[in-house]
Amino acid sequence: MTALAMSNVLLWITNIALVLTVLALARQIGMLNERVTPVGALTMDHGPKVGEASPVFTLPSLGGGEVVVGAATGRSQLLFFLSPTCPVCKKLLPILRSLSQHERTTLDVVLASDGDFNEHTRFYQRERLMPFPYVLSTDLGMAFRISKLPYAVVVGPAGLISAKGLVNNREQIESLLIAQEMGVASLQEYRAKTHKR
Amino acid sequence: MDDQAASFMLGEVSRLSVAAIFALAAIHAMRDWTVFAGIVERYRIAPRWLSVIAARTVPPLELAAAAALLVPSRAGAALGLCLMASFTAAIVLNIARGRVSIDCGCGGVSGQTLSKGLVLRNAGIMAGLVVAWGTPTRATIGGMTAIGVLCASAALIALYFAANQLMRNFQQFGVPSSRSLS
Repeated sequence: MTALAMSNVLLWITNIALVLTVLALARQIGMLNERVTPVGALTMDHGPKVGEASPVFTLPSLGGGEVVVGAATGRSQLLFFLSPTCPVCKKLLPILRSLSQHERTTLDVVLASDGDFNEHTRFYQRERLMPFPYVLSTDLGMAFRISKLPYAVVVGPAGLISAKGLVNNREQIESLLIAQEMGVASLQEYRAKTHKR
Repeated sequence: MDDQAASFMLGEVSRLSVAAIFALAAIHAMRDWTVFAGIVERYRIAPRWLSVIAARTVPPLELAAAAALLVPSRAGAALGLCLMASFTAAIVLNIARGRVSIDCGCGGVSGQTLSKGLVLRNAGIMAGLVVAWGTPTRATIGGMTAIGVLCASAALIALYFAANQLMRNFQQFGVPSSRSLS
């Protein structure tokens, strides 16, 4: 083997090793980014605060009948704000289904959105959302100052807002219900409290 | 090294690396057909029923292109160019519409949204396919050439994944809350 060929082989070895190192570093940066994102549902400081009385609305449901939103009914209510064009919302629908099944003795799940009636009716039928009340109201979204989706608000049995936030996965939805049980506004507040101690 | 051998080697590197990229993308997409169909539908270039059919046909076509690139023929390069041209057209169309927040679906759920970098990356793959089309093929390959081709292809494939990962990182760091927007 000539010196030139040997040098070529060595260059290839170092080249491939370097490219793999770049790949590994890029992946580590990506994983690091996922780790530093908030673990709980992110609350935004808009709209009625946690602990305050929820605005009360009586709205027609797409499935027929009327739904009272935010009232003191003796049961908890999970308001889930969604849109037919949001893929994360679609991902969370099966999770909401199992949640409303498991917690059906204490919790009502209500889906809320606004926009074109026909588009929502098609979405409602396609995704088979019949088990849920589904309301369309711009005023409801305005009252809670919803700016990003999917957003969830938990209203307690006494009609007080017990937790709310932007939710992207099952853990974040559950974090809202756990926050309600523990009497803290959000996981962020809980962490802030425990860090102060 | 004579000119013909040099251009054959260059062609083999293009064919092998693009074939691997196609095959990996197809396998990834076929692992979850439903999600892939959802991604194709979100591009909004065809009615719902046609998107479902497209989602079912594209991964097998990618596999076919990958296989055809490995045999001495121009069919693989031609099929690959057709596929890449339609993917890139769909991406450019949606960037023009401003719908950049959809998942690119580069091999199933990629967590990568649409960007100009993606168009550039696809242009690179298409350049590789043009080289594959224009260079001579042979039924046999010599020992030293084979080592060179394998090493260069491995480096290019790893670079392709590194570029994808970096684009994803940039997108996530740029606007941290963009993933939750509808």
